[in-house]
Amino acid sequence: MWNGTTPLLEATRLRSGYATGDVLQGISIGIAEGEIVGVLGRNGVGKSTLLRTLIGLLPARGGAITLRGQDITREAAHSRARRGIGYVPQGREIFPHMSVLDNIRMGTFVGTSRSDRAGGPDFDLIYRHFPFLRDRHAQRGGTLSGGQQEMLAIARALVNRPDILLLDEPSDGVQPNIVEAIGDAILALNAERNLTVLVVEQNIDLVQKIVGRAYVLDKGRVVRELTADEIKNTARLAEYLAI
Amino acid sequence: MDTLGLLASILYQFGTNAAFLLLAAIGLVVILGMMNIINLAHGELMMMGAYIATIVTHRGIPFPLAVLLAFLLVAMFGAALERVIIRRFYGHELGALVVTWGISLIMGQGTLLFFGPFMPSIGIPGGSFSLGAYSFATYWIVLIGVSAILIAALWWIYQNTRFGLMARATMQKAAMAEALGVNTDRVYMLTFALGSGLAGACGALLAPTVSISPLMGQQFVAPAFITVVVGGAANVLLGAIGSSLLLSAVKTPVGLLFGAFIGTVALLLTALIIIRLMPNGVSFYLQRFTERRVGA
Repeated sequence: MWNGTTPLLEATRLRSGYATGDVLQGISIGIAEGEIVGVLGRNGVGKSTLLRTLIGLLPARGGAITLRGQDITREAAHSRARRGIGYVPQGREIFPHMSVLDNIRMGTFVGTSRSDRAGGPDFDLIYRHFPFLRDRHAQRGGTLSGGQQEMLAIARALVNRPDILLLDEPSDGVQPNIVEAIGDAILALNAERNLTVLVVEQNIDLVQKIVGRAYVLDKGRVVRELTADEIKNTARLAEYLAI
Repeated sequence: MDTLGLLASILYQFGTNAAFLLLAAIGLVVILGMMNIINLAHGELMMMGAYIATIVTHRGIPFPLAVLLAFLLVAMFGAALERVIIRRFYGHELGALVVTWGISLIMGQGTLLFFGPFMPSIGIPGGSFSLGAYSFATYWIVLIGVSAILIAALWWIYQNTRFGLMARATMQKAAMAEALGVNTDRVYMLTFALGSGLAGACGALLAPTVSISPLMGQQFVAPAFITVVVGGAANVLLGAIGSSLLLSAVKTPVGLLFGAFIGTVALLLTALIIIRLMPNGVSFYLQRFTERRVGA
């Protein structure tokens, strides 16, 4: 449903999974530059598997992934990250024994293989949206609360201005006011920087707040695409989140 | 004058014991501490460094250059080992233990085949001086300084360089580091090479103080593992410093009073007690202490 131009990130008939079998059964999605696209569906339909396959932590067993039209299906995860894909996994995966500052520094390799990269990492941008990170820069990552760790993981993925952000359930285990703050930050970055986001989310409020268009997954397939209007309809959306 | 001499002698013994433990352990600190590979070939990597230094010194190459050469050659050997063998055993600790044991046997016996059971060692560089009735080897004083510099340099590399940042992240969460653009495969290879190279350099540094033989590596393995395990995994570098000082603080006075053998027994007993009482190692407590100071 994107507007016909080459999508920034595209998956075509993507298959992937674990030893027990394929979880993704041929998924085709596309995200255009500047979009915030949601991936919805109940637990176990393959939402996180989709993001893990897109970043390259899980190998694709079939189909193709392209970034700006270039095939990255067989590339290692670190090469994809260096092309400019920022990834925030489920469970945040903060480096627990490293300081907050070192955790953010770990994001500075994202996008470094781009030919047109403008400037270095933007710590000011991160601190403007998540000011507590500056105050706690010497604290160990593992000592932060769940919500703070989520913000740190997002800051880490954003510091080197990725072209696209893959966000896996940012609201999971996070208190409501921090979910609100995360939503605000993403909307602001989308407006200021044209940040493109693919977000897996089950929280209706957050989906309605940030997502412009969404894919609904079931049993490893895209079963529906939701328009902005359909997402605004809370009753319908709740139905799809529980599909 | 003699009290001063005695004091200096005790301090000197303490320093040499701690430096020996640290030099024996440094390569293992990197490989076991950072990669969780129980490297039973550690002693043979040190032996390889000692052989390289001894052979090239006999050919007239200055000793400091020989140590550097030992570092480089053993590091390259380590990189090759990692590429060909070790990398197949990540996540299989027992497999890694067995395979490194096999490597140690091949290296030890191979050296015996090629170089025979004995090699004339190199003399201790530098002379000695005396203070009262006590005499001190200049070389051991240098070694104390070198071991401090080595551990400080290692600390600096891990805290302040890009490689250090990537390596620490890879050791904590390899998949996440990979997803953030770190070539974890390369980090593992470089880490194993660095640990091997350090083992080689330390073997070279200790070469003038021991007899050179194919099985000489064995004498370093036990002290190395004890130092690393007592140090603990919370912060391997801090742990190695803490445990080498602590173990030396036990071994030195007991050794002076009752002889070197009883001193070693006391060291082993202390290690046992520490591991029993502080299963997380010395560094766990040191780290908690430093964090309280940061105000975390």
